[in-house]
Amino acid sequence: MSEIVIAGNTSGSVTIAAPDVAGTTTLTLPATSGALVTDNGSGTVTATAFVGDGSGLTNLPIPPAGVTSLNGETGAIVNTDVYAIGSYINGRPRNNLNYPQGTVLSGASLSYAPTGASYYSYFRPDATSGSNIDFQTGNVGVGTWRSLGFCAPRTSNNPNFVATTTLWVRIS
Amino acid sequence: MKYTRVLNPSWANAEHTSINCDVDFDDLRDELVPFTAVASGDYEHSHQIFAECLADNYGAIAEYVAPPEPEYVAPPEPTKAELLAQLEALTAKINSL
Repeated sequence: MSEIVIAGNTSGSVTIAAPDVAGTTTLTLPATSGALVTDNGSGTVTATAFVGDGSGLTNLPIPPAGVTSLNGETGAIVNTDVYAIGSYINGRPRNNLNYPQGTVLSGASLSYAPTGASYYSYFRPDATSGSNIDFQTGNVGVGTWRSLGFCAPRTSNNPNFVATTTLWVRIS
Repeated sequence: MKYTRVLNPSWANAEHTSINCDVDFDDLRDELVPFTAVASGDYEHSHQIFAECLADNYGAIAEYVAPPEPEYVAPPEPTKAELLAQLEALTAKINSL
């Protein structure tokens, strides 16, 4: 085994060794000052930070244990199960008022758009009484949700379009 | 999800199966967000908040208050002039065919 031994200033030494079957390889040292990070023979590299785009990382566990942020955002790692944090619904608050984008509501205050009466995404007057808006059914009922658009109330000049909905994302 | 504060618990329905409250979650930028907690079938933090509220950890749970029924405002009946204008427009369209 070929080695280069560099003695320490006060004691000890550092040995740079080539393997017995070395092939034809080149080890290029960085052009900047700093300490090399080693695994101490354990196979685990420990450092205080990693800076890079990470596009070449593979075999990461799902969900990645200990990961606290993705794409610069902190929060729970999301999935697309119905009512999972990070999932979406099409709905509106349980009343007939305007709501701007970014509104935050509890799940108990939110209804998802009804089905059956129409394929359009709005709430219609209750078919039985003709005077109520059926917001009380389809209650979401869990968590916290943030609106991604504007929820408009029924407009008096078009009775068929009642209380338009928007997408809501669960945030907790 | 981790949280540090739970405030203003109130029953979210008459059946007392869910609780509304304001929660300060560590992972959200919002200081407090409205949250509906349930006893089971949701996330662990939801079940935990429900149990803690039930144990009066955050004060008495206020009774459920049903939201007011949304008001349906009937569209105004068209006036005679408006109906005549519509009839005139339709007649003109038919005549143009």
